[in-house]
Amino acid sequence: MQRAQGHQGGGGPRVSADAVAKIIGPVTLLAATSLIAEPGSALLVRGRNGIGKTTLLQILAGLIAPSTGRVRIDDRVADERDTTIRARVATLLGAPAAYRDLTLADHLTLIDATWGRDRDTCDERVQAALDQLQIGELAQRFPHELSSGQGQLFRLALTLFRPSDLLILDEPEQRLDTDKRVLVADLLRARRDAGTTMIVASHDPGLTSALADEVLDLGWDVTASGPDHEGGSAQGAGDA
Amino acid sequence: MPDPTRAQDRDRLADAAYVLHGEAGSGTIRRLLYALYLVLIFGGVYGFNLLRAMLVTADQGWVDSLASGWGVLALLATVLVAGTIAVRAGRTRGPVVPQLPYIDTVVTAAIDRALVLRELAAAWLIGAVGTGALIGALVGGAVLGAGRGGVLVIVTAVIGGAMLGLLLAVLALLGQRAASGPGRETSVAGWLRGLRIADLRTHALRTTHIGGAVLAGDLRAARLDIAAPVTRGRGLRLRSHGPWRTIIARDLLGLWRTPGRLAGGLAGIVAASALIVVAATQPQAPAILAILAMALAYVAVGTLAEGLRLLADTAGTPPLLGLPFRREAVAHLVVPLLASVIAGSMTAAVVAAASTTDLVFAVGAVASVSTVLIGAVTMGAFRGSPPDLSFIGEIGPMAMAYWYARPLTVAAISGGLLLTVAADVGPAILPVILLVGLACVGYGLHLARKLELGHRI
Repeated sequence: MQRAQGHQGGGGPRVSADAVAKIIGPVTLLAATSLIAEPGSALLVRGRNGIGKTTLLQILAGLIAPSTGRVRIDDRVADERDTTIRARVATLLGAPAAYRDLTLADHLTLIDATWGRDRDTCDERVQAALDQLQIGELAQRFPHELSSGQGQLFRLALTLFRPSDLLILDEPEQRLDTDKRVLVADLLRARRDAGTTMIVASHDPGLTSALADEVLDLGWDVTASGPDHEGGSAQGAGDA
Repeated sequence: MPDPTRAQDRDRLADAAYVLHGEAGSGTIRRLLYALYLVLIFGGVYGFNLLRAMLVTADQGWVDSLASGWGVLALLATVLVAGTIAVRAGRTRGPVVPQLPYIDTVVTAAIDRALVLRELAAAWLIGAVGTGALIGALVGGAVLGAGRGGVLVIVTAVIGGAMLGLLLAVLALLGQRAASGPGRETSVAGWLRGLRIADLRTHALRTTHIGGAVLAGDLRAARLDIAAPVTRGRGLRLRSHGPWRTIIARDLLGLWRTPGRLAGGLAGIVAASALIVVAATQPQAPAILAILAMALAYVAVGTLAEGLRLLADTAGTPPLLGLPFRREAVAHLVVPLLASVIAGSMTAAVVAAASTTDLVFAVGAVASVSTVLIGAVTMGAFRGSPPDLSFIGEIGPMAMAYWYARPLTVAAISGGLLLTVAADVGPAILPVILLVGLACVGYGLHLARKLELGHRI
């Protein structure tokens, strides 16, 4: 079982998965997998395409129910229908739908308002959030006017901007150039160091070494339909 | 003396057609004529009898008014709107668009483009003229059958229908040509030669995407393929006003940045509200008027509910906003509801002032059916995935059509019938309309909840 230790015993939740699997008919999307991510730690998930990384993240975020096993976020079962879970978990799994008639800044303003933050300082927060991902100059662009890399930075901005103390990200580095990957790794590391628990699927060695407290390898054997991961090998971040 | 290049082009095109279709040819015109034959049979059996029955039972004053100055004005307005829609539709997806492989392999060849696209263009024009003539024959025949006119009516209706069909077909073709840049051609062949390969490919790809999206019940993908990218109002900023008011401000800003949608929606509400007032206050008005008015109003109000539809599209995705799903849905109802009530009430007041209609009743009728419309729009936004029956061969298209049309049917039938009753019983019906509207909204929000939870497999 993978156990990621927290850096500062931060405010993020403890996430535990106990032999969770997802099976639909004859197809095993995710073989039984167990893990623990301690508060304020970063757990990196790796494995070949089709091994079930995204399915695992969806289960951990409470977006889909596991066929077997159970996921707990602190003392609550992971289920996004639970408002407490929704308030804590920010997820980037695929592209969130954007309004075609709102600019990047408008999107963040909308998020800011719905989480009840201070209205008077909203503009500063929005600009700072875009600036930290180096897309501040694109604030007045519409989503369809972005390149694919800029679009990924915008999606990261949306995800990181909403309040959360558990981040679940599926390949946040995709479509980004080398410099932006380093930038994102630095940002995520800062969030982790501030106490946010993080579970990230990634194929990027740089991001893994910069961020991971623990690596969960789901498997690389292309002939296997999906091995059980309980008690599988643990690798330190430096080995990634 | 025949042009040798043109003869060469014909030979090359004939060779290409033989490779693709063999001796039988493409059969485009043959299939079109068969479709027109089916329309004729179907229209003759159902449409003729229905129209004739409506004319027989309609109030004589209403039938006479169709031939009056107001009737002619209404016809001209309808032609104007239809023409505008034809041009815009042609720009989005032109009527002369071959399949993608044909574009890449044949249209790209150095053959006269007018020749390559001639068969499709001919099919489009013949189909439009034929459909117009058939509709004219149907209407004229029903008038004759109902004893409301003579043979001359049929002749006039057939010729008028055919000309109208040709006009709309040409406008759609001009719209397609305009999408390829400016030009001064004055013939169909010239318009076809002016079509750019990149635009033909874009339209063909759009057809494939929209067709796939409709078959899969993915209405968002279909909408995004049709909608033009938004670029207006970039300098405006959404400001934080707290959760509820910011959602409402978002919807207003979205409409401001898409003025075509805003103008179309408001124009539809104004036109529909005028008809609603007539249907609700004049007992002699035919029931079909109330149903058509509600159908038009449903489409118009739906145009202003983009925020609600996007929320429905994101059901089941990780939440970004801090509002519960259904509460956000309710916030997105505010703008379309207010637009319907305010624009509708103003129209009702004008109609009441211009006639002898009771002002309070007219405004009350429009305001109360707005709740039915909002309920139906909510049901439409959260209709979810098409039923499994949609993917079964024989009954699939019917099941899919029913799934698409259900909210529209609820608005048109329930609202239309209530308006017809209102014409007889007066203001006493208004609380009932309001209750039906609230029930529709409640059911729509129930569907929202179901959709929100439905993804969790």
